[in-house]
Amino acid sequence: MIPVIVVALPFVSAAVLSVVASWRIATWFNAGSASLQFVVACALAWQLRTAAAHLVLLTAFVAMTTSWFGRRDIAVSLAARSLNRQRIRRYHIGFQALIGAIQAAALADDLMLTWIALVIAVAAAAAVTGAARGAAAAAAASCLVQHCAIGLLLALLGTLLLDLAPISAGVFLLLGYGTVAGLVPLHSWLADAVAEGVAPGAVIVMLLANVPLMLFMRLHIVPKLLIGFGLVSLLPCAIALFARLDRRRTVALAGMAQLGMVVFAIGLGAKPVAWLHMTLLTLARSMVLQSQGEDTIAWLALALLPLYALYLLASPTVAVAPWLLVPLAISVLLTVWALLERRPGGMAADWVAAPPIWLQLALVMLLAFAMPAPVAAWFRGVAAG
Amino acid sequence: MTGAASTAVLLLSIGLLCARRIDTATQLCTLQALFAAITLGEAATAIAVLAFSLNGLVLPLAIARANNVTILSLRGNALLSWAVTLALLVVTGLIFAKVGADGLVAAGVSVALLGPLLIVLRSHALAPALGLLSSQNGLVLVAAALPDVSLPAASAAAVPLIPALVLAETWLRRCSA
Repeated sequence: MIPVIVVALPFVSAAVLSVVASWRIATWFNAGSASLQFVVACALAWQLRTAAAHLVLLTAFVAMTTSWFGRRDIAVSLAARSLNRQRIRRYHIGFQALIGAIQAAALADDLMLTWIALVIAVAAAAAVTGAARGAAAAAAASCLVQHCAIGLLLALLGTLLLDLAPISAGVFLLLGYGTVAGLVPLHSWLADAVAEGVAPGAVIVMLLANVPLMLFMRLHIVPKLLIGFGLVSLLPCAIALFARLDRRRTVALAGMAQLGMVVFAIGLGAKPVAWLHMTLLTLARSMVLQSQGEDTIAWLALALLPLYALYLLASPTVAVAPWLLVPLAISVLLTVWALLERRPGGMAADWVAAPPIWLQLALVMLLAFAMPAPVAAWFRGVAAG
Repeated sequence: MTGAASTAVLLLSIGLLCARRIDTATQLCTLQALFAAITLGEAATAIAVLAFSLNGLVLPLAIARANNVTILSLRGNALLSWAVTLALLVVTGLIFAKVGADGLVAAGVSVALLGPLLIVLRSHALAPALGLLSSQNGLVLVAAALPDVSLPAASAAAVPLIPALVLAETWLRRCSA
């Protein structure tokens, strides 16, 4: 019953939001619904203790913090005329539909159902990105749809071929779902979507990447493919971080580079590390975007995260192939260097924006440096499940 | 019968790469959907009818209706694109020749991969929808090759969700422009 509520609640909220006329009431309703979804997700995680439940909890948590932080940003965007009342409505509907589709994709036990849920998620992500006024946001939404459409097509091809030709199916699944996750080579949509959409929309669009990562852990794809694919994503994104980019594009690229590390970890068989890094990355990315890239501590957390992952991945890498440590370490150092060079000099002073950021920062610190034994056991259970 | 139909689908997808007008391309897509539905017909007749109705009639009509520029202009080097097409067909043939019956899988994968090539080669706003529609017909061939095709798998291959999504996005963008 709880999984049904987890999936149904966002879609019901989206239906309600489509008829709410006042944008202020809609913003409060969006935040209230996201908070209720987080409570239900906690109940699900208590009941199930699986990888899907972990992803549902993580998604609901980030959606909740984003919806509270989004209250301020929606008003700012309305004043700046990048949103109007109609576009705010589209944004809210897309927000809830995207969360619902991500939760459905995570909880579905059939690959076809997961795929269908991801199609809905891509449509909702396009609505969220395209909600902002202007040609750039419309082009970003279009790029998102076209790239993810090709990705989903390859993923469907891979799913159909899974029993007939498992190795080739693995390649198609990796390329297809890798595109939806924003991994190289079809990755450019993610940077555009993050940079051109409204700020809270950018946070939740990035949540889309976690479902393909969970699928990579579930499906038995050839490990060498995953390792190669992870490195191919990590190295170019690390180099691209040295280009002159705006803050949001930098965050998106840093996220893509670190998603490559997660895929690399999955290929090595270090699934607990992959889950932990995915969780930390999701929280770190979201707090940097929620602070508009202006909070130094949030930025430092994102910048230093690859070093922490390198520390965790060193021994599994040496156990598989020691030479892999060289490209991995070079890419990590490049990523950290590029991000540290761009660090901002301020703090999130806004009373609405600060609490979610500090809450997520506290969680990142706790998980990285002082993880309680039950939580460590939880991560091991999630990775095994 | 299925072998001939799958060859026809593959040849039509190569023909689609040569099409210079959008109405020719949509007609080729309709024929392609018909042959793809014939291959699926033996395993799942109702779904084959659904596949032809959606991939062969509804979406080509919607594409034709959404169109306002008739010419599918070429983008990039023509010689290089044909070299890529040939390489793709040879590699797919070599990898999938022994998978499935009657070369259905090899033909299906080739058709599915030639669709995105059309997107790269044509600069028309509707090229993504056309290319993905052609790829969808390739997926129908692959679904037809499955030994026991499940209902969700056959439905996902038959219902053109992805081309419809891309077409809807193109249409919405045009309306808001």
